[in-house]
Parts: sequence; C-alpha cells; structure tokens
Amino acid sequence: MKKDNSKIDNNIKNKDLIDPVELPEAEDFTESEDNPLSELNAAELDARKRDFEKEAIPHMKILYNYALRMAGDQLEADDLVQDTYMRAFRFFHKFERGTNCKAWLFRIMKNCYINKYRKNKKEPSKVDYEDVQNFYDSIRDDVVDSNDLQQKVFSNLLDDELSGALNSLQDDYKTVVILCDLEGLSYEEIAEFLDVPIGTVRSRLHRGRKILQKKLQDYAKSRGYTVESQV
Amino acid sequence: MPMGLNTTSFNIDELITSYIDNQISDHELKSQIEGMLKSDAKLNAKYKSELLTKEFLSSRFPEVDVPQTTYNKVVSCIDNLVINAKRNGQPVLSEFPSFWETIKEAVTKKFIGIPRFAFAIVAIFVIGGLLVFGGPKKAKNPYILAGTEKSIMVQAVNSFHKILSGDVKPQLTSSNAAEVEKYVKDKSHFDAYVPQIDDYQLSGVVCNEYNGQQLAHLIYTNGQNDIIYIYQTPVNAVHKKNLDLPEDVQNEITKAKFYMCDEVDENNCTMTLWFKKDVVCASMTTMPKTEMYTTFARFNR
Repeated sequence: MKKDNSKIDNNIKNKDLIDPVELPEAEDFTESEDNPLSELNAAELDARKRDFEKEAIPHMKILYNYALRMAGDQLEADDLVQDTYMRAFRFFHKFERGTNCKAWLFRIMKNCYINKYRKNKKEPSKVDYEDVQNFYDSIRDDVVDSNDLQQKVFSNLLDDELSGALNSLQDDYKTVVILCDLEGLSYEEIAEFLDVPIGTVRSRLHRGRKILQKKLQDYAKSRGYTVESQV
Repeated sequence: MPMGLNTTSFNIDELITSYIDNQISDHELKSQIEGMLKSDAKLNAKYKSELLTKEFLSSRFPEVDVPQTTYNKVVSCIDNLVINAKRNGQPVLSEFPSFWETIKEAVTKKFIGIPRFAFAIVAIFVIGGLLVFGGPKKAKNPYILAGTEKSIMVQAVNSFHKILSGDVKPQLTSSNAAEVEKYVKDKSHFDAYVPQIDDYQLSGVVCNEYNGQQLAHLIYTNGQNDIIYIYQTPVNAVHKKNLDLPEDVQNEITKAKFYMCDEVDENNCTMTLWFKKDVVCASMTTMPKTEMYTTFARFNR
C-alpha cells in the first residue's frame, strides 16, 4: 500500500521537475531599448520578415483567441495581437531558432497585456480561492446525482454571465483555464508558456475551475435557480 | 477510498483535475483513480461537476478564426515597420524618444552634476522646442514628401484640403449612391466605387481630369464637420504612368488589401489606399488612424 502512495507522489514530483524550455524573457523587450530594426540593412530586413512570416504568423489564431478571452473585447484583442506581433518582429533577433515560437510569442503577449491593458482595465471583483476552498467539501452525499440539474442551470446562463465569471478569476487562474479548457493545450505546454512547474499549472487549474463554478452558481442563484444544494 | 491512495484530499482533488484533462499517463494510477470514482460517490460528484464546468466552458467559448481585418492589420503593421526602417534608416515614430525623454537623457546621463552644461542644454532645448512647436507641422510620410504632382497620394491630400477649405464644392450634391455612380460614369467614363459608410452620409461628387486621366472625388460627411473624402481613378492611370503610386504602396495594397498611414499633412490626417475592382481609391479623413481603420474595415468588406 505504501508503494501506491509513493507512485502517486513520484508521478506529481517528476512532472513538476520537468524544466521548461529556456526562452528569452519577454520582460526584456522594453520600449526604451534602442530600435533594433534601425541597425538592419534592406536585405536583412527582408530576411527577417520572411523568417518572421514563416515562424510567427502561423500562431496568430491561438494568440488571437487567448487575447479575445483575456481582454474580453474584440477591439482590444485586435490591438493586443497587433502590439504583440510588432514587438515580436522588432525583437525577433532574440528568438532562438528551433525553440518554441508559439511559447515565445505567448510570453510577449502576456507581457503586453499586463503592461498595457490590464492596468487600464477596470478590475472586476475577484473571487478568492479561500472563499470556495470548501466548495467540494460541501457536497452532500444525497445530492450526488445533481449534475444533470447543474448542467441545466449552467446552460441557462447568459454569455455575459459566463464572461463575467471568467473575468472574475485572477489572471493566473484565468490564463490556465483559457489555455487548457478553451485552447486545449496540455499541462506541459502551459507550463512551458508560463515558465512554471506542471504542478503549478494543475493546482491553478483546479482552483480556477472551483472559483468559476462558485461564480456560475452565484449567477444562477441571482436568477432564481436554487443551486446551492445541488453541488 | 482505497487504502493505497491514502493521500490528502487536496492531492486527490488535483489528481482528479489531471484525470479530467487526460494528463495521467501512468495506467496503474489511472485505474486506481477510476476505482475510486466508482466506489466514492462524493468524489464522483466532484469529478462530474468539474468535468461539466470544463465541457461547459469549451462549448460556450468555441475557438474563433482570426478575422481577416485583424490579420491584414498585423501584416500591414509589420510591412510598415520594414518600409519605415528601409526608407528612413530610422526607427518608426513610436520608437522615437519623446522630447522630454531626450532632455532627461541629455541632462541626467551626460551632464549631471555640471550645472553650466545642464543649464545650456535646457536653454537650447527650450529655444529649440519653441521653434519646433511654434512652427507649422509638416507631413512626415515619405511618399508624400517625395511625391510629385503626378502622385495619387499628393493629389488626394491637395484635393482634400481644397474641399475642406471650401475652394472646391461638389458638382453634384446628392446622397443617392446610384445617382453619384451615374454622374461619374457620364462625366468620367468609369465605374466609381460608392460605398455606404456607417454614420456618414454621401454629400456629393466632383469629376475632373488630370494629364488625360479621369478622376472622381467623393465626399461624405457626418453632420459634425467630419469628412471622409475618396479620390478615385481607374487603375490603368498607374499602368500608363499618367499618375504615380509608389511601388511599395502598391505591393502593400496587394498583400494587405489596403495601405493606411497618417502624418500625411500638417493636420496629421489619415490616408487609406486600396483597389476596388479596376479603381484606385485614396481616402483622406481627419479621423485618427485607429478610428479610420475600424470605419474602413466596416465599409470595405
């Protein structure tokens, strides 16, 4: 029996110990840095553009979707994608060929979002994980078949309410929920994108979903559904 | 709960999360979790509830394609970075340090602690600043600066200013697109592109000729003194060299479907160029570039 315990623990620890791929820090790409394009001649500029179109442009879809969910607005998502690509192009010499370009772009976008958009955006009220820490533990043994009802309640929620619930998550939780549940990335990919251990991804995802559920429940409750005892 | 999985409930919950996301590769561990889910109704309810949340999210937020306008905008911006770097050998506008940053750098980095130098530097910059800000602003767009009177871009800027100042008035005043199209056809013998623009109303049209080339000038207003002006001429004017359109701009239009720039005049107006069928369109407006981009993306679908 002890063997089983150690297997579980090792399973977690080994995954946590996977080193993320070394990526250039997006945080280094500051506006104050000299413009790297001015140092290139016409042929070098053309070559950079060709490489960039081949390496970076194909990842626009995932970046756009992430931007759309993070910013919650199409125009802001447009700007975020544009800013990310402009910055990435200017600093493309810092991208190490053969490494994960998608992850590199994602880090730049995350940095752009934090620097430019998040501080200007009105913060929605955040839900603390502690508030819902005992969420699952409140499940009553006699309501284990309540999932069908929960499904009905959730499906009646409005898109705005769902967006509101997603936006109520702290950025760390929101990011992993978007990347895993909406973009379908693996924990390993997310860990690489965020430069955090896989265990952190798992933990944030678990907590993020819990908070989200609580928030959705609150919306349902405000619309007259008696969901408190369902989960 | 099976004895072998005597972990804390915290770890079990997170393992359930991993199981839901199909992130557990160890078959034995997977079987143990599945056994637990069968035997523990409460854990099973947690599992189903979390799975439901995950599925609910992905079904209500489906993946979307990048809008063509967003794609074009990104590609166009990168092209502009390249064009600007090639033309000027200088950084693009946003990368210029501000006036104040220049002063700060000069004073703090080079002459800090030497008051007479600091004073001289500040004095030079203040006088220079007065001259810069006191004088008229000039167009910075290299195509406008280098353009001759045959340049479509230069002609569009000049005609727009004549309309703004009232020197040129519509020959036909009409908000009817069909009527305007017919007028251009009759007078200038080509099919003009007369779009519907949200929040703007067609006001009229002027037709004229330059260097044997027929031109049409459409005017739209929004009732608040804002104007969208569209210069149009058949694209063969460029092929025949009756009119000039820089090759870089033509390439840009071909690739991104449009070319948009600002700083084309002293008022920092925005110019947008695109091809519509066999017509070259050059629009001028007092709107900022971002606002014009949104407007343009709506009407030029």
